[in-house]
Amino acid sequence: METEWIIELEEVNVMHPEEGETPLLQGVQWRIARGDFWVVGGPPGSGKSSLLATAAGLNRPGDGVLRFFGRALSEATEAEQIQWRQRIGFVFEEGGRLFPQLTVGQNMALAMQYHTTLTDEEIAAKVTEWLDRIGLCAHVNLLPGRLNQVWQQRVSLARALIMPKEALFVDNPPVGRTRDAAWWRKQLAGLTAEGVTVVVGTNDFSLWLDTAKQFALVQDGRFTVLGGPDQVRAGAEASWREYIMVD
Amino acid sequence: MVIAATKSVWRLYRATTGNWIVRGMDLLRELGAFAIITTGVTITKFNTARRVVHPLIYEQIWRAGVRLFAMVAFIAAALGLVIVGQTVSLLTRVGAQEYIGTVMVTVVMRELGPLLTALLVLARAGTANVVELGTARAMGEVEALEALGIDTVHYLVMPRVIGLAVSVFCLATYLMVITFGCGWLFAFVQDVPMTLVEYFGQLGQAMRWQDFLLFAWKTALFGGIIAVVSCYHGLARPLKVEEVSGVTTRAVVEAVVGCVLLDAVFIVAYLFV
Repeated sequence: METEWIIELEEVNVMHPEEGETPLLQGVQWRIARGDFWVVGGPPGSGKSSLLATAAGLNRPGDGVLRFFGRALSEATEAEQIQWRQRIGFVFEEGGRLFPQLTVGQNMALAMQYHTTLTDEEIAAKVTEWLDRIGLCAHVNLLPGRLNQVWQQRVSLARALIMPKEALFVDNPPVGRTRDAAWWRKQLAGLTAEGVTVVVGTNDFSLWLDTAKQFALVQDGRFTVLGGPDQVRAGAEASWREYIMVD
Repeated sequence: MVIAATKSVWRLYRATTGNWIVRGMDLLRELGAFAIITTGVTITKFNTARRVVHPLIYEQIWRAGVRLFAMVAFIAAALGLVIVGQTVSLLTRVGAQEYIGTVMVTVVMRELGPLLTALLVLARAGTANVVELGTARAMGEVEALEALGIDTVHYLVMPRVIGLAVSVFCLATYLMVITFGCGWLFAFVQDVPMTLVEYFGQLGQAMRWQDFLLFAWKTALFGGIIAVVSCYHGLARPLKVEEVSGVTTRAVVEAVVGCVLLDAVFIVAYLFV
């Protein structure tokens, strides 16, 4: 069966979204196929988050060609870009960037209210279903500020997935505590099983060795594809082991 | 010698006035582009996602309009008592009471009312816009909206533009009515021989339908300018805490200049009415 590339980066220069004209990463070559599970690692400040945001279509590349579902971003109309964003989800790091003035339930309902004609009752049912899935049913009417960052990022995951997605980017899922790590691994593995393409940015490869299919490294302004879990395990002498946990 | 002097004068000009003009033109171009984009979104997407966006418009009308009513009423009463009442009294004393209507309409309806209301709305809602949107940008909320496929101009800017345009129009109308009312009250206290019917009759005669039309356009555009300038400065780049006051001041100055320039355009328009 022919591979369906849903996101392609050809010689892309990744820029910081807010500052500077010097690329964080140069000449990125990366193709993401439907059903892939990628894990991108790298030291803090290396440009992982900017790379993920660029690959998800949230940052404009400085140079090169970025394609979504076979069509170049530079040729796409605004309507097409909005449609892509509905097909590609993004979970931001450090609390998931929830809207602080909206309750947890309102945060999750916003995209459905904006894009669909579902009734309020249907949307409320969806919200309840997803809150149940992330284990936060009791917090539907709380403002995000009342939750800790770990739970906020869970809400961010639910907000991204409440409308069906073909690809999901997760930037630095909270894996500090074993229970959280297991939860995220289970959720994302479940998504891959449902056919959703998953890309995770992390400093900890070890958590994903049994789940992810491909690993890549962002280091010194370069993007390098490391290969599958076996290649990552084999790279015992690699310099990146100083800052990325594998064992 | 002369050439060197000319060059240094030219360099000095470029470093001061020249740069200032170039920066001003750049700002004008960016604000113009932002205003055109906002107008386009407002026209094409007014009814898109109305259950999300329309409540935001009502919220802006509540914040910039309804909650400012008491302040506008107070200023209008003061304006009526201090300026209009005295003018009515003075005109009557010099036997020029037949010009009361014309003077009042020119001063309050055409000039002072809209501009004063715009300044009040700018101070209250315009500055709040810069801080709110600057913070939202810095906290990554704008990027989060984009990730959800939500048009940020549609969600964040359009409600503020419509809300402020409606608010300035409504508040300026209230200001005008209260000012006229309090003006008569002051004149009555000062024993000016003019009945309420005569007073409002004169005002009515001095007003033409073009005045109402231009009043509506002027106030709505004042609100639009305040919203566009404040939203532009809030969203142009993420603000650090120490930058907020400077950017807010710049937005206020630019909005005031914009309103005054628009006022000048309307003065020309009034010449043909």
